[in-house]
Amino acid sequence: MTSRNTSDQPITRRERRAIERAERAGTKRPRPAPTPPWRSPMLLITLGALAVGLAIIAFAVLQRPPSEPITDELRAPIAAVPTGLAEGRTLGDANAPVTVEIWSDFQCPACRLFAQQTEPPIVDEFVVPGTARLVYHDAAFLGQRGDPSYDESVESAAAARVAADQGLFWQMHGWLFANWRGENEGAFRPERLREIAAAAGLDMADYDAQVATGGHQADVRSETAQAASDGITATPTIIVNGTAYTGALSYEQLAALIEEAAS
Amino acid sequence: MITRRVPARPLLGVHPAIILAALDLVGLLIAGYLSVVELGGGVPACGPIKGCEEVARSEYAWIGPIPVAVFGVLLSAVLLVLALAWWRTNIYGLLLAHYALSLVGVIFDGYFLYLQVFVIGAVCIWCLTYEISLLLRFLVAFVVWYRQPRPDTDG
Repeated sequence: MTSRNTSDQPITRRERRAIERAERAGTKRPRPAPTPPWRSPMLLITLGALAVGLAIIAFAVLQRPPSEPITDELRAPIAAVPTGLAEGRTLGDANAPVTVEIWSDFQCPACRLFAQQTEPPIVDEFVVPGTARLVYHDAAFLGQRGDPSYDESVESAAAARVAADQGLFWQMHGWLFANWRGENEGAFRPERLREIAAAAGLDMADYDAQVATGGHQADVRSETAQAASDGITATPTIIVNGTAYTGALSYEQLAALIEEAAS
Repeated sequence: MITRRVPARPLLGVHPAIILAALDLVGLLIAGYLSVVELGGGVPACGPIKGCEEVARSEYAWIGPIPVAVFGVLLSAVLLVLALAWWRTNIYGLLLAHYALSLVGVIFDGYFLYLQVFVIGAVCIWCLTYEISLLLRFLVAFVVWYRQPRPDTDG
């Protein structure tokens, strides 16, 4: 008897299905070819995100203004100090109804912004007419992050105090901010600070003598410590008739506060 | 593939997009606060923790005329929209977009953290909290992707 599954023999439906099942079992379904690792969408997305992230960092770095070279060539202040209104670190009529206290650091970029953009029109509009007076205080924090052997914030503030003793604080204030070049980058190293003092018109023999004693440096540190204990941790901090405001207030902001305090 | 809808596997018992959206909202609030303060000329309040003022006052806190925090607002807002859209649609590409954007943010925040620690010498707690939230968003997106069935497989 021959086998029934020869080609010339009819097979039953059950047998045909069994053959088909056996054929299906013997041949695997075609599966999609595995994606090569370098073509994995997740890898491509990750690499793309890394590239974008690094590009943003590069953009941020390029957006930073280049540091201005510190040269011996000094820049003059952008505003003149009105005559007859300065006394020590105060500018304006002692009887002015509004007192604006400025806690500042000569190394602080925001303080420079305030000194150069806000103060001059405030002086013209409110100090000269007798509505307000400015009182400068030291909050010389930034030098603490620099060279521990030479604190540029303290030294520049001490130089300004020497100028105050000579009646030239606001001139020195203008010269210091005009020659600011970043934080702890040598703009106020001793020899350059001396040049700035000379340009501001200080008596240099007196300057040298006072700087050498270290008395003013101690006073600056003392006032800075007082600022910290009073809760002044940011510069500039502006106090208008006893109310403190943090940050480099614009002319419009400070003018509004002075007008409100004077009314 | 990325437009395919793939049901999300729950994470901590909820749709993972809800976790991402919650973290995005935290980041949005922090960056929003920092942006408002810095654009107003002030510095963020840190309370007894020091460092916010120094970071906010540093030249690194701005990219050109725009505070870095504003970019944080934009990033968090886009991530929040992506998370909510993924929650409602389950479109696989939205998860991948959230993963990719949060990775971009993590890379930049790594750079900004480096600046805080090694250049500025102070760490802003608000910035650090934002950076942690962004890192969590990236990790959650990665874990979700790892657990998620791929739209181009049988799973």
